[in-house]
Amino acid sequence: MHQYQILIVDNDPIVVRYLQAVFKEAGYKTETATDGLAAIEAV
Amino acid sequence: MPDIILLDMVMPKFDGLQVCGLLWEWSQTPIIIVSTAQNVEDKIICLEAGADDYVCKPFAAAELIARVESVLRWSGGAINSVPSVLKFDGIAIDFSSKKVTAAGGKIKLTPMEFGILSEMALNACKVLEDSSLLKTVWGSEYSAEKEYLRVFINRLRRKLEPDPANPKYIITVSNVGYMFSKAA
Repeated sequence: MHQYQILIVDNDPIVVRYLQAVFKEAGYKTETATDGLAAIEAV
Repeated sequence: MPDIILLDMVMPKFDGLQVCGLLWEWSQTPIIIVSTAQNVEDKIICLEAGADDYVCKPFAAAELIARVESVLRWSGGAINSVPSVLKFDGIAIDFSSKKVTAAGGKIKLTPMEFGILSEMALNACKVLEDSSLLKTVWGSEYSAEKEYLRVFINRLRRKLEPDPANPKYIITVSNVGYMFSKAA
């Protein structure tokens, strides 16, 4: 089964950690970025 | 490359809207904006910038997962029970590869844009009610979100129509919904 990859972009590390935990639990691969430039570079 | 992006609005080095606008031009990766702003105008601004959905903070984890799954539904494999390719005058839609060409050039559509176009093209020359399109593409909880549909129809027209102000494919049927016209 395909494992989707989700990019979580937020400058609040608490929100990032929470969302990482939520989506890992739901079976997603996660990556993170803390600003807009890093988000663009990750796509 | 990610399959989907969850994007906060307020950030350094390009805010969420700027990121949406930049990525919408050249990427097909769907974006869900997550923001504390709760009013309709903010949602519309985000959708017009290129986001595929909008979730207000605070949110329930289950709701956010459901939104992500709804968007990814249109970005996965081939859609079953439909022809592999539909061709109209100037537009070809490949349901296997989820690629669209218009006027001979490849058009990059986000998954939700592709979902709306698919539903309309598969029902070409039939009027589809707003609520029906919203239910099919986003889910039943979105059936009253007519502003979502209006924004996405405008986005599709900007990408597909030779003259978006005078559409020949995606026709508005006043007070009812929209119709995909085969006519050139």
